[in-house]
Amino acid sequence: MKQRRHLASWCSFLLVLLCAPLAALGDDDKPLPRQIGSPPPPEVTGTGFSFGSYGRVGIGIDGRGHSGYDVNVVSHGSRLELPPYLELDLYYGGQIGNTDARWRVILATAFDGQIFHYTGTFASRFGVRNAYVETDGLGVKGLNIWAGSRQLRGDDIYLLNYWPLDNLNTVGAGASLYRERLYLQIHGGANRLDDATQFDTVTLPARGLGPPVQAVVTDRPRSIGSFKATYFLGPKNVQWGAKVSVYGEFHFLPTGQRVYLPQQRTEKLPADTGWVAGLQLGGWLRPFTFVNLWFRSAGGLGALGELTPQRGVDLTRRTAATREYLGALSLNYETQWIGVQGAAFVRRYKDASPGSYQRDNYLEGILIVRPHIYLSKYFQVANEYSFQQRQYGGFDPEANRRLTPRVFRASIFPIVAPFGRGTYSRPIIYGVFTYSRLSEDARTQLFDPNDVRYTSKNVLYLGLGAEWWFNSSYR
Amino acid sequence: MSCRSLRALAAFALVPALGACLDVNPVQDDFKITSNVVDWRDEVIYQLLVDRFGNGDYNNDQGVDPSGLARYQGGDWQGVIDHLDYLEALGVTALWISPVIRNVDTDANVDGYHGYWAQDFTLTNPHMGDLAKLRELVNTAHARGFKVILDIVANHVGQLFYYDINGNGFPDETLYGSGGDSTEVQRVTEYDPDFNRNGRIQARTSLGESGDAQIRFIYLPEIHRMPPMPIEFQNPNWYYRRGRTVHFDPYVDPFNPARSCDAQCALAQTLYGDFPGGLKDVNTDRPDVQRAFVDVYMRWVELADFDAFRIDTLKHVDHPFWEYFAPQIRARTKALGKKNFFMFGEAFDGRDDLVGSFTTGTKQVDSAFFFPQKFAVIDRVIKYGQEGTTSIENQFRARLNFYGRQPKDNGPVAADGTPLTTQQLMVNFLDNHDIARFLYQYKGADAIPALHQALTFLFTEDGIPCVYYGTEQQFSGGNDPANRERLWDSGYNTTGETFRWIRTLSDMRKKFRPLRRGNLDIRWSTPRIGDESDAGIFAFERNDGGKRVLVVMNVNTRHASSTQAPDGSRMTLSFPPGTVLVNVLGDNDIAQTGFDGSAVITVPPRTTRVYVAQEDRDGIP
Repeated sequence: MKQRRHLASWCSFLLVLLCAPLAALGDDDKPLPRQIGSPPPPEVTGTGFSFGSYGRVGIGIDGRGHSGYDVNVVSHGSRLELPPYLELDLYYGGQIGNTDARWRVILATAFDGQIFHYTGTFASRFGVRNAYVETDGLGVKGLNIWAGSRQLRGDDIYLLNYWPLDNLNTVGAGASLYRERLYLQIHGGANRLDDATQFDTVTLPARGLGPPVQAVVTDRPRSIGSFKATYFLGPKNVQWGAKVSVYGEFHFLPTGQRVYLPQQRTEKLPADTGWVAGLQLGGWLRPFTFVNLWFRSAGGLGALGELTPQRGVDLTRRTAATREYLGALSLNYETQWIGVQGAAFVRRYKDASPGSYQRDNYLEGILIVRPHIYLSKYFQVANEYSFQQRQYGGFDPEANRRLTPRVFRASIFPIVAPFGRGTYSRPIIYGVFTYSRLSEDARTQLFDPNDVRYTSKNVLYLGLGAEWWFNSSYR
Repeated sequence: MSCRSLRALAAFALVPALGACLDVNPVQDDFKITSNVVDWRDEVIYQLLVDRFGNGDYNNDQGVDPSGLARYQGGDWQGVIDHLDYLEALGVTALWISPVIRNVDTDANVDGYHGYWAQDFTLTNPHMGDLAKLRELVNTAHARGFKVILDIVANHVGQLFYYDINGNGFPDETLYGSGGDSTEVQRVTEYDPDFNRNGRIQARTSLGESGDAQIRFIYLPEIHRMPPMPIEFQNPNWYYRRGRTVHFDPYVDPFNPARSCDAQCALAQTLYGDFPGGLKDVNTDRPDVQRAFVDVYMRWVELADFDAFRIDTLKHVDHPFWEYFAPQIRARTKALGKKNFFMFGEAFDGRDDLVGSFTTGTKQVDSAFFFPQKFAVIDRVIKYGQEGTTSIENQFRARLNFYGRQPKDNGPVAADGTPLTTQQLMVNFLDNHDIARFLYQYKGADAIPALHQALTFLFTEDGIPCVYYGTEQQFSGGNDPANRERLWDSGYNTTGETFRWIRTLSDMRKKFRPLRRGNLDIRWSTPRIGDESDAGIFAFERNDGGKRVLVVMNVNTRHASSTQAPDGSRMTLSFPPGTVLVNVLGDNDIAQTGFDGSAVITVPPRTTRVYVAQEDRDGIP
């Protein structure tokens, strides 16, 4: 049974590999004007290097001149005080032979957290967000095949920096196929987080002389398969349209063990599974005037997310009873003089643990709207208003009661947009002033009473920053 | 309002999963204070260490180390909830749970799993659960007929500060002396210095003493070794600051000159010294401290509806404290509408005069954990047979002489409202978490019959029986921490002979009211422990409203004995002449009183028989 589950989770991966021979069917027999084994020089078939980036860098102070800070009480709140994040996207690719097919290597390096000019520390947190190879149209028109390390994402809620339905980080492979109105995506991958429930070693004496050796005692990669099918509605060659997507994930964590030294007591860890099922409805009138609705239900490991280790287990040490229910909305409306972004979500989360601790049992939601007024082609003023609330099922361990933190926020920010009007026009340079009103429970949740930020229910943020994206590999 | 606002928000988002709003709060909100006890004498207490009883939630197993019993093992309040069936099957009715407040997690590689190292009197111990789970435990237990007793400590807090003797702001451990003839080598630790019989620990340098040593609270947030809370407990004057006690009794031990100390010094150490492990002794003479302890512990009754307090280290806190604390708790529980709140204390001592001194008058605690009986009867008579059963009779006389005979104001009452005295409410036990288990101390071939006999005595004598967890699984651990085994290692077996024996005793006690509420009249005791005809016999009647139960036990391990002395004198009973008596504990054998009310009953070795009149054999409700 466990073997079958494991095989099932990898089936999508195998399907991807099976697609490779198909690609060969479409090869042109004519020899390439170069030697096989390395990328062709740029002058041949449009091969070349390109660069893209996403970035945000900002700074702010609160009403006392201290560092500005965010006051979100939900899992995805307003993004106005997000710390700096930089992505550098590097591409190298080109045409395959004399066909329309193309290949590409994608490398996305990323820096997270504060940066040198702020801290004086010449170091940054660095990560690789994408490192994969893809082919497009090889053998079959509309077929895309990729393999490597990738963040695989669908549509987001920009205002909340949130991908509510599909957002997976794995090492694996996938394929997608465009056919008329249908877009199919399939993916299989795995990750093995640095957590003792998934990977652990013990130190043992060397055989004979020499330094101690490490023995792997726990090794449980999580296998994840996903699929997405999108159907596009509406007539061709018009600006308006709609789409319906269905989405699913399956997670599998094999059996394992924990070893406690020095007694070498062993604890068996059973296999665990998870799933995600979701639906997205989208419609648009013209570019940048759209609405998206998401519904997501998840269980077990799927509700935790692929980057969260096994937590909140039941007495069988599994997450089977963990549940997440989500409904989310995102919209954007553009005219020549105004633009409006809006979003909302309601999310219910409860883990499988017999306890009902605050951290693992809650209902949360946010409503946020950001109208822009375009004063001229390059200058605009935006306001952002939001209300967010989280309702806990468990007690706060310090307050000994159930908290319901709430935050109301209002912001105003002037924007300079060199590429002209539009809520999604980037890059932008902006200043921002935000007033946040925190409920008593919000203060209690966010800050320790000894924290200087605990003292105020009225939080100000005065900041400035910049944001850009171009040629980004975010999906 | 919050649910409605979320619904409105969700409606905006067209989210169908709004039903979730209805069940977001699985924790019961309808918490209220209840009165659950009809008569404390009807109860059978089961003492459990939460960390050892059941692990119902792996997600709070932080720091668990199964390799050593001095470390956290993983038990929690959910584990108790999960095994209420087990406790119901055992027949116990009141659960004494270990302290619930946040403790120092670990100190010197020993963990605060037991709960006696308080750090914050206002918060729950996160290893056990949160307040919601604690309420769920108490509420669930109440719904199933259990009462819940909270273990509290008013003598000390955890090792939360050190004495900065040399004023360097660092907890030093130092050696003094050369080891030669003139000065022996002495180890001095600022965590736990020797007791100063003259007053507070003194600061000193090479130039001599320099006044009271400052105390410095330790700040190790990763193990909750933090200054005590509420913040009032951070007042240095709230501690005696006298140093470590090695005397736990206010009397001089002539056989242990190494601990030589005159009576005054011994008393001071008992009352003011820091407990072993550097547990800092709180200055309970201060009225503000007294009020604080009332407030912090009363709060737990208000928060979680406990039915009683078991009070730790009773004799290490002086009487005036209890004369304030106990009446305050009684008055405030009464004001809450909670009837029959019960307080019994632990004075780990074999002296009846000392233990009893905390129960006399109308103000002190309601009852005591009966340590003198444990030593004088359970050990010396039943377990080892060192003394004749007259020692049991003497113990009963001591009970009458030394323990409270006046009901307490607002204290426990009987079912008919009659106030009860300490003498009727003694909490009887065989062993507990502070002493080696019965089966560790007694390993004879008849160990199990001896255990069963001791249990039978516990369930039939006057007072409230208290069973230490694991007794039913025949655990045999030695002293702390070996006597704090994981119960789940037993598989919660409900078919073992001792489990079934306790159930039998509990059923019998429930069935025959005099065993719970009757007066106790001793009918036979003997100083003889040899081959004599009555060696090992102890017999008593429990009489309630004219209904009687006769208990005859033979603690002799070698031969059957009878209720007839070598000189031919016989046991006289209060049953009418000619009454046919039926043994309801075992084989239903018959005895009969003679025309003069006497009866000669022969009992096999290590056996106890419980007789009722034949017409009462189906029960005395």
